[in-house]
Amino acid sequence: MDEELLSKKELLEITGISYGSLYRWKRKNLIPEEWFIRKSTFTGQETFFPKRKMLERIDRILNLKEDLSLDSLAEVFAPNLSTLTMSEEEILKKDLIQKSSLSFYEQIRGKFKTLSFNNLLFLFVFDELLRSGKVNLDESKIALKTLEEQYAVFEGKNCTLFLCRKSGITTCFLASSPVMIRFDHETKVITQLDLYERIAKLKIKLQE
Amino acid sequence: MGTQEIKDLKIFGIANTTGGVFRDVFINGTGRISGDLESESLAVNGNATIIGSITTKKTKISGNCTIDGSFICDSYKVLGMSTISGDLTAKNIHVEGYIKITESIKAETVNISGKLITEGNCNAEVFESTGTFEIEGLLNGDKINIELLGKCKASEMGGANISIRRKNTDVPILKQILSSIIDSVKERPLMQVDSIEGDDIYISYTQAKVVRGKHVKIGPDCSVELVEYSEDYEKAPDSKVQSSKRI
Repeated sequence: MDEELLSKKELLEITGISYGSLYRWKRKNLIPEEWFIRKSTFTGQETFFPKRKMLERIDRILNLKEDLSLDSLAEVFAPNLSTLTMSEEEILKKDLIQKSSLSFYEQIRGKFKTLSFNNLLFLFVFDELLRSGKVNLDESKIALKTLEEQYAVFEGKNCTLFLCRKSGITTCFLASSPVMIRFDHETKVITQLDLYERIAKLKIKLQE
Repeated sequence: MGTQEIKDLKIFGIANTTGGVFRDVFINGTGRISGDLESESLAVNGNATIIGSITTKKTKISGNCTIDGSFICDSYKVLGMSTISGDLTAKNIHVEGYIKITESIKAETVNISGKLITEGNCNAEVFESTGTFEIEGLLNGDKINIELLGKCKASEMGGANISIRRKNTDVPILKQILSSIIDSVKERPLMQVDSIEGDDIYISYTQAKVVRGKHVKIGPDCSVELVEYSEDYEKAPDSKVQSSKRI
């Protein structure tokens, strides 16, 4: 991951949060363990964070903190478990997924009464792929199928969905993140989605 | 199925059994349970080996208990000896005996008057120790209150309030003289840690590489390589601090 990093000291300076809050949020899993990147510097070991993600997350925590308790915040950011199920009307009412994606989904999977959280997540990703305009329907279907078949392996852990194209052929795979992948020059990564982020997004939408 | 009554599991003598769902689990002799266990309570007075994960509410281990799996419960009390090859998640952890964990601890309160060893991290809202501990990873707690008895170790420490003191020896003079002789043989109180980060920090009898915080107070008998503070900083004259700077 060749991302810009931010040291812990800089983070506290920029955001104005205290060590106490940072460690508290870490304890409550509001900040994923893998964002704490250890590096040796001339002053010994120091901790760094992926700058963009971390600032975004802190910002979101500070905004939501007033309305939600830390534990329900943890629910929002938690990468696993949710016993919730949703019906088609609820999905449309909450405006989680656009109608056209939903009807495509029903064409593939048939009508459903309720969806489990994971299936809802897959549908959410499917919808996002279709909306992005970068991916066509067939490719989105591949992604959906991959998620349905393989996501269970990553349950509770963070993973990234990749869609790649080489000489007109599309392939899709999941990789546990953080991951570093390099391809040959003919392969083009069409899109890559962080599932953790999508879960957080979906949960926030559900809380609204 | 639904009307089936949940039974107790009691082992007196020697028994091998499988896991399952029970109300209360007592092991008074030597018991070996293979498989996951779910119960209201677990009490071990003898010798227990459990191969599987455990979900229970109240746990009291007075004998010896070895668990190969993760452990989830409300209250966990060890008076004897307990080894867990997995994570321990509990509301309250009380260690008066000895506990060793190969993964991480997650709890609201951890109270140690015996000995705790973990190869992973230890997360608690309130962490109190009047015993000894060795934490290979991070000790993360909102309130960390350590009264040193012997040698304690952690690789990192982080939280809001951190206090490391010597255990209060409230004994009469004669006893004090006696205990000072005993003390000279016994291990000196010492906290060994790489880094400490917190808002309010008071440390004494501590060896650390870095201490970072808002309010930092260094008490007696410390040796610190670097102190970084943002508000105020105090140091006892007999403590060694190689460098300190305000950030």
